[in-house]
Amino acid sequence: MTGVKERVFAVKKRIFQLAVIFLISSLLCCSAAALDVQVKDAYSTGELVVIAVSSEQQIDPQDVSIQITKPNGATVDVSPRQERWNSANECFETYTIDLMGDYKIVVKDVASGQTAEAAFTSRMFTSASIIFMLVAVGIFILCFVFSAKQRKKHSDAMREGS
Amino acid sequence: MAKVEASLAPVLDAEKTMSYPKFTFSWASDLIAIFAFMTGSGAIAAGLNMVQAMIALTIAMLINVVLLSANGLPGFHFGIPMIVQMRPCFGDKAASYVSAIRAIPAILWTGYNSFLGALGLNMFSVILFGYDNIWVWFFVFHFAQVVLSMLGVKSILNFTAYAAIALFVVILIMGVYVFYLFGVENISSVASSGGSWGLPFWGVVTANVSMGITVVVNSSDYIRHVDNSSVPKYVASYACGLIPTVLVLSGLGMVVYAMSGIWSPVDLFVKYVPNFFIVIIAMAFIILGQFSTNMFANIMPANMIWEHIFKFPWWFTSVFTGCLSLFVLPWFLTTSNGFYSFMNVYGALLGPLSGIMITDFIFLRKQKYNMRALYEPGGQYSYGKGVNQAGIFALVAGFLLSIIRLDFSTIVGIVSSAVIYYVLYRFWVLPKFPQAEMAAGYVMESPAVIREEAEEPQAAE
Repeated sequence: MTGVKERVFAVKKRIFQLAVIFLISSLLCCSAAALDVQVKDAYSTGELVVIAVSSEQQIDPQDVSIQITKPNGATVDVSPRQERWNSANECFETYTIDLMGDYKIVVKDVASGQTAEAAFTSRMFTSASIIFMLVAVGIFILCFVFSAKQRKKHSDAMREGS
Repeated sequence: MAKVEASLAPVLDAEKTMSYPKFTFSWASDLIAIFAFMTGSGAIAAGLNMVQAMIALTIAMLINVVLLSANGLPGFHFGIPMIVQMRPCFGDKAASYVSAIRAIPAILWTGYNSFLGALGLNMFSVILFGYDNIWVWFFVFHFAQVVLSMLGVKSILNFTAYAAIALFVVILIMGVYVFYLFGVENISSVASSGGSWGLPFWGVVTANVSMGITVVVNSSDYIRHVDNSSVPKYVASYACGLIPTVLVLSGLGMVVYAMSGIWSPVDLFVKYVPNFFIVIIAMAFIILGQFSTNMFANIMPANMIWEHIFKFPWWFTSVFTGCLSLFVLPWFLTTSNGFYSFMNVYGALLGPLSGIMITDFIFLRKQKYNMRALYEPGGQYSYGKGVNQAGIFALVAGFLLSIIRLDFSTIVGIVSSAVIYYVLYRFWVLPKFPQAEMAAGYVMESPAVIREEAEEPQAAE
């Protein structure tokens, strides 16, 4: 019986050890993925991209570098900034799109050695620009109808006057 | 005589209430926009040093002053708009269609400038408040311009004149800050080093003449509201509005580019200046600068053309121009190299247009018109079927010659079309269609006779 108890205890001990190892490694994994970069999936070409960088720890923008790879393969290196509306673990940079196609962003934090990646596509139309155009078409039609009615009223009045 | 459209009727001397200083400020504010900085940084990027760039820009602006003054003379003397001025040159029917040539770049530039302005506002909004939505800013920025332009031509001219005063204060603050940032000694040390007096120098001159050619075409539209008591004052108001403004703004652009590699002081402030006040100043620059440039050089001329061609009321022409300038997808224009190539080729049409109009009024008609015929369908300026073939041939020939060398297209276009038009008109059209005002001893009628026939006096204003 003692042997069984010992074996059960040994298995429990092993399970506990494995759980601790799993917990520590998960924590380590989490902290390795703590640096994050957020952009939208798609932009209309010419739009401003706000590259939002965040970390679970405090972040110094001077330690962070952002590399943007353009659709033609050219790269642009920029350094982010922090503003009053950012918390201590956030920074950002803006970039104006000048080509259509797929862009890739790689962010590196020199202080912690962490990196994060994101990608977006620059297109002629996105849902936002389509809605914008539809609103413009709507305004145009409304004004055209109103103008036509006004002109008809004016010409009717002129005819009655003469 | 047929009824005269109110918006096309001549503005009489008594109604020319805009003063020369106000006119000067209107022109200055037309030039104060983000692209003005880029003309300076562009000259440095083209291989000139700061001194050469300043000389090249001065020469270009002097040429523009001469062209604007020469082509604005019919508006100055008789208060007529561009569309009427085109009738003797192209025929009374063809003139309406030829005038549409001026509307196309106006629409493209309206959308382009609005999107540039909205981009700037969105960037400031992100920096100041963390709010990012280009479409909201674009709609607000564009809508505000359309509403302001609905108020009419005089309101546009007044707005731009007052905006110029505010803009000069903003530029002064920016200028002081730029010199403080880089240091006067550092700037003067790079001012005259390197550069070229050769092809790049003349390339910068012609590029800057080309930039002004769109407003040269319809310069009568602006000047017809201004006091016409003195030709020297008229020319001086163009010179004072254009030359110092371009030199100051381009100078700032040059210094910033030469010292930091950044194209515009506004971008410099956005990137490196952690100062709320300076950011607000730069934001005011974008709003006022883009507004005044767009309304003066783009929306107003396009509206006048739609008013004539489609007989729309003025308020609707503003909506029409506003919507058309969105349908050209401005966000794509700001990123497309094709847009600049298109504008280069298009400039090859505007140069010949100006050359023909200047030659017609100054060298052929000796600054006289048959006033009644200008407003009479089927009259002297119909040339039989409503088309002056000399004008159309000269326009096409000038365009074809210009596109051979696009770098110098505007200058080539002006000179070649002027010569071709003069020869064709004098020896081909004139013998078939004698012109009353070209006969010896002709006494011109006052523009007031036309106003008596107008539907409503200056309803559009």
